[in-house]
Formats: sequence, structure tokens, C-alpha cells
Amino acid sequence: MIYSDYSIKFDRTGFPLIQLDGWSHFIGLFPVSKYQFERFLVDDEASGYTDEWYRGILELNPRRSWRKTGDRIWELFITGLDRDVIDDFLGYLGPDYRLPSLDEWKALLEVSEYIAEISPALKMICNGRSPEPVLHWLEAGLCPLMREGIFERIHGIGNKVAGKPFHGLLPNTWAPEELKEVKMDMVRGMIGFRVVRE
Amino acid sequence: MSEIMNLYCEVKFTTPVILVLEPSSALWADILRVATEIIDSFPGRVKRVYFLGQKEHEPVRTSGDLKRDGPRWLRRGIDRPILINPILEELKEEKFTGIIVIVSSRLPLDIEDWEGTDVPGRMIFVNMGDGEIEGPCRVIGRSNINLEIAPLMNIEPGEVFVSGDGFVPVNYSVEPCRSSETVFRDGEFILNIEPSSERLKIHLAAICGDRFPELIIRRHNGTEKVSFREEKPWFNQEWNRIPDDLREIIKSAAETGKFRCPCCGEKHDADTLICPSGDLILRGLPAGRCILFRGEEYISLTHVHAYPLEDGKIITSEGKIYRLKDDGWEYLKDVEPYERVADDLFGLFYKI
Repeated sequence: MIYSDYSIKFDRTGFPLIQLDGWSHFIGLFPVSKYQFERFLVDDEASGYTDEWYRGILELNPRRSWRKTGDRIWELFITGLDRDVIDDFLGYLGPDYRLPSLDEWKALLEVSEYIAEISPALKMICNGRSPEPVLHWLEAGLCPLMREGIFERIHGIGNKVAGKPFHGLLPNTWAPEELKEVKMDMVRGMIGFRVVRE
Repeated sequence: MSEIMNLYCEVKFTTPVILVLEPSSALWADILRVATEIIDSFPGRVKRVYFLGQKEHEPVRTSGDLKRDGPRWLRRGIDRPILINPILEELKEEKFTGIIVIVSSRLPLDIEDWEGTDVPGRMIFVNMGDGEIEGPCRVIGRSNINLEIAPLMNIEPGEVFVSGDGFVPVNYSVEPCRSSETVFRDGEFILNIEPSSERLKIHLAAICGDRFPELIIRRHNGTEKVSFREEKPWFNQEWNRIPDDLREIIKSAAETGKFRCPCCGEKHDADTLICPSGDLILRGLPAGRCILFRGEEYISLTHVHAYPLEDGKIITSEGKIYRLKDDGWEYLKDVEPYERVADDLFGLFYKI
């Protein structure tokens, strides 16, 4: 399939969201990263989150320098957040941000190869508007990371996740677009999210 | 003749310091004590305090500012996640190349993001915790802070020099310095300086291109450029009257290439500076440098490096003539004895 046109917007952390022709929404090119989430943590709007709390979150999925894209790439992305924390983060981004619906998530999955192909053009668009990790990850081909990234939360669905597991602990044969029912407590450290802007 | 500009710049080589504190309520008393000690030990060098996990900074002049306002600044971000990226990104944006002292019981969670850059090399971590800490930066203990930290607080400049498009130093005073010399390299005149103290003052009379030259300070972790500003004219090239007994010799040598020797009475070629009888011919004129003659006056380039000629040319005190081209200065030739170097100007490298 050939996609003739797309638009890019940036959230307040400088991370890019994409809209293809025919879509009414923009969706994050990456799952929300730790670097991006930390923009929120240092903002006055996040004053309730302590160092102890964040270190607890990082125990589930350790932090990794954004410069290291060779392996263990899941460590670049924030996982293990409760829904109320995710809501705080979405509120920080703006009132028109939410989790993606399953259809929106699948629509991005469908064009993921195309997005990987246009990464050089996306890098040019992001240059000067996005922080360094975005440019580095686009260069390294880490976009949009739907087939080999992390589990992702879907809007309106509490105990099921989309995406492909990254740990050898779980079956790695599932199709990423098929929602999986998981025990949230057991796989909490593997579940992240990406954002949609209306 | 090109205009000679009178310029000035002053610079301090002491490295500025940024303090970054852990916003810990439990450790605040200890952190305040150590931070105060650092500010007092290096007066005037700590101008800003940050707290980990916050992008805003607070200005400080003395430790009293921190003692007075610190508790209020701490409350704003108390116990927040220990993150340093927003601070380091702001410092990178403003090209800060000084020392960053972190006073904390834990390494910032995101410090690994800076591995492979020059930042860890400029970072000193004062460990306020009880356990050992290994990190990408230098880690010191909280006791004997002055003894441990003092040797780490300066980044000595590797190279200090003045350069710029079309720049030629004419005369200068550099204080205090161990040495200073003008060199010509790759089409550029460069004034190399070896400072002898933390503060340097330069008065410079110079031929300039479209912009004033800059003082360049190169350290292993980056380059700092300091601008010159124009100052009240102080440089004045005074012409001297040619001694009566030499006037005819110089006039004749310049016009005919020969002169009658006052020592032996014979005619010599213009390039004869010592009579075969052994006497100096231009007795009374300063030797070892280029001399310029104009009518009945002369000027010796003994205390100046260069003199501007016409058509973008200059002559140096070594009698070398250069011309300014688009890509820098081009060496043309060494001056011949009594060579006409401009309309009414004759040059001689008076070397005996």
C-alpha cells in the first residue's frame, strides 16, 4: 500500500505523533519513553512523584541510556505505570491526549513498515524540534516499534494488551494486533503505552 | 594606510562552578553544610544552584544566600526523582564548559545518558551517602571536602591565542604572562600567549578585517572565545628625524641604488651596511629590525610587529611583505635594501 501524505505534530516534550491521510487523530511514533516520562517528572505538575517511587518503577524494567540502542531496547520505554499515573501524564501533555483505541493502534501497526521506510524523512522533520533521543532512535530504526517492542495499553480495555512481548518468559508467537489477556500484576514491568492526540 | 584599531579585553581563567544539590529533606542539614563550604572556599565562582529533579535554578552570590533561601528552594522540589538531564541540557544549550559539582547521596538516575560526552569529565560527585558509589564521574567523600575538591576545581587552558580574519598585531601589552609571540601560520597571524596568572589583561593595537579578533582559550573540554572591545586610542607611531649625516646617504641609496660612503669616500651599493673599512654606515639607527624611510623621517619597527602599506599589504618588523587575500594573508617577499614599498615609503631590514 502506498501512503501519499502524512502530518507530524509534536507533544510538549518534543516527541512526534503522526497522522496519515484519512485519520482523525495523531498517534505517537514511539511508545512513551523513560526520557519522555522524565520530562513530566521534573515538571511542577508532577510534584507528588518521589525519587523512591520512581526507583520502584525502574526496578520492574531498568533504565537505559537513550544512546544505547543496540539491545534491550525495551529498557528505553516506560513500563509498569498504574492507570492513574498514565492519566496524570496524559493530562500533563494536554486535555486532548489519551491512550489509543484498538483500531487506532492496529492502523499504526498496518503502516509500521512504511513508517520505518520514511524514517530518514521523519528525522529531517524532527530535527530542531525534537530532543536528541528522537533523532537518535529514528536513525537507529527504532520506529514505530510495534512488532518487537513492549506490550501496550489500549484505551477502554483494562486487562488486555496489544503488542509483542519482549521477554523470553512469554510466548513470542502471538500476533501483535491480537489483544492478550494478562495478569497485570505479573507482567506489569512489560506494559507500556503510546499516546493519541485527538 | 589601513586603520590601526585600539582594542582591549580582560579574562579570568578560573573555571566557573555550578552546584547541583539533592532535594532530600532527610539529608538537607549535611548537604547545606557541604554546599556552604564549597561556596565559601571558591568565592565568586559558584553563581548558580540547581536541585536534582528540577530544571529551574537559583542565583547565589555568597553562602548566605543559600542559608537564607535554600530551605524555600528545597521545599519546591523536595524528594523529587534524582534526575539531572534538564539541568545538563540547559547547560549544554548555553555552552557552559565549567565544573559541575553534585552533592547527593545517590547518582542521578539518568547520568548514564551523558556517557561518551565531555560532561562526566567536568563533574565532581560529593557522596553524601554511607555506601560507596561508582559512577562515570569523579566521586569524593564529604569529609575534608576542601582538600579533596580543590585540585579538581580548575580546568587549565591548553592554548591561549588571539586570531581573526585579516588580523595583524601591531603592538600589544599582555599582563601578566610568561611569554607572548606573533606567529604566521596557514595564512593567519596569531598572537600566542602563555598566561602566568588566573587573570589576563590585553591592550592590543591591531590591523583588523571586517570584525575584531577574538581571544581563543582552548581547554581539553572545549573552546571559549572572548571578544575584544574598542578602547580609547593609545597607540601612536612616532616618526623620527633622520640624523643629518645620514640623510644624503639614505636619499641617494633609495633613488640611485648607490651612495658615497662617509667613512671611506668611495661609492657603495645600497646593500652595503658596513663599509669594507669596518665602520657602520647607518650609525645611530636602531638595528635588527625593519626601518621605513619617508622624506626626512624614519620609523623603526623595533617595538611594533607590523606596519600597514597600501593595497592591503603590510610589512613586518622582520622586513617581510604580505598581502591580504580572500583566504588570508599571502607572503609576497622579503624587502630589498631601500626598496620602495609604497608611494613615498622605502624599507630596509637593517640587519648587521
